[in-house]
Amino acid sequence: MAGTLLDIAMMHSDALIARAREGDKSAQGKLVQLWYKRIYNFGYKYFFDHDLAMEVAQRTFISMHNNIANLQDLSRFRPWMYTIAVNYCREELRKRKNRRAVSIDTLAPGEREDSYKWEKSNARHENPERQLRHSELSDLLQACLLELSEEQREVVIMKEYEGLKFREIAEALSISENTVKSRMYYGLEGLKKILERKNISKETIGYEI
Amino acid sequence: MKYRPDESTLISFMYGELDDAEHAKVEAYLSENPEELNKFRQMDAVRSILSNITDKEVIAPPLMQDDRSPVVPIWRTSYFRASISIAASFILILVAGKLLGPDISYANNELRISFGGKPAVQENISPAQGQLTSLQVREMIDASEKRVDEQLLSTQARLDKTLRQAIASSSPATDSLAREMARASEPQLKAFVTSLKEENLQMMRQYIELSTADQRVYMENLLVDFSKWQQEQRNQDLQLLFTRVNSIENNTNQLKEETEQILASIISSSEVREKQGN
Repeated sequence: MAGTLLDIAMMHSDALIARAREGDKSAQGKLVQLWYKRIYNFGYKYFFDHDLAMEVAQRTFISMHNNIANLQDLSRFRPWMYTIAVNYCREELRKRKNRRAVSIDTLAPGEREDSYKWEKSNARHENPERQLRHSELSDLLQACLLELSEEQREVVIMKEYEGLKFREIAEALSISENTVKSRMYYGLEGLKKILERKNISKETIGYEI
Repeated sequence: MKYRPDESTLISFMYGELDDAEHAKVEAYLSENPEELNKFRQMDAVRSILSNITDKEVIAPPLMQDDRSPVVPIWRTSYFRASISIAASFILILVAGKLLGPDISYANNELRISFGGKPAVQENISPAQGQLTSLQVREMIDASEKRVDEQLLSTQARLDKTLRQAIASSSPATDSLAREMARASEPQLKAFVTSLKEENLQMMRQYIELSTADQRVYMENLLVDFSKWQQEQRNQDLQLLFTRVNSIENNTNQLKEETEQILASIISSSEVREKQGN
């Protein structure tokens, strides 16, 4: 989804990045404002977990703040940010695997009316029933995404939701462009099977919504 | 050989990242192969379903804090360096001492520090050659005082004599001058006083003229300096104003640019939401 919130502003933030690279604290703050939602949502889709997404976003921006002076090419900022974010995601995933603990949110994801997530949700104010259905569908699809392998999930999120070009994904993950495309292909194929298994199709979604 | 696009090409086609020629080839291939087209459409449908995952709203932290504290290795700390330099100096002294053979002794209210072993002391120096007795010192001091007193007396006598001679030679000349002054007539005195007055008057005039000219030059210089200073101040003020105006203009441009970016993003976001709503 290349046209998500603040995406266009982010596309034209070269001057801001240049100032941030020279140590301008205000520019760095503005970059955080511009990019926070993207990195948080990247982390959220990666883990389907608010706390982990917050953790990854915070660590990513601290790292950005500490290392932006070393960024040579301004045009590389976008893949560079995702490189940092994906590295922290992988690190968190490794920690979670070692811990073998399961979050209560993972056991009962979603924003049902009796859940605290529903209480915190901003979307509940407008057309509550429709929003709830949409939110449930979003969570259902999010859970499908979580069934993909780590490698395929990274590529699918970067391409489908962050709107990176294949070249940028290859740069961010330090792999070849063909490998990225191959992972994307098999990721979509895998998702197709998962959706079929859960009986989710365009038609059922249309009926639900 | 029949053209068959690989997975990478199909994916690039799906996301519109193929060049025109390749795009046309894949399009032709799909139109000729309904099964492949169907498979392609199913994949595209997956993408369409995935677009229902919405972004979560999140508020970015308002401030970025630089919580990095510079980690300085212990060997770079000033305390460590000072301690090491003291220790190194001490070791150097010890080594030097070891090599040179130090000798430290305290005797007869004196502290002796020496290197390179004890010097061979000549024990056979007779007291008459090396030292003076207190009686001899007293005699030498007395003799010296006597010589100084004699010299003082002779110098004083010479000074008295010279003074008397000088007074005797100068007193007749002074007496004659006084007598001549007393003999001077009234007209001569008047002429002398008049000439004195004229000289004084002329001197005063010259002084005032010179002083006025100097004052004029000084005032002119002062005015020129003041005008220069004023001009410089004006230039500086203008420069400051110019810089401020430039800064305001830059800030305004930057603000405008950022506002445009944010407005564009908000418009884009609302369009996406509308689409999702539809």
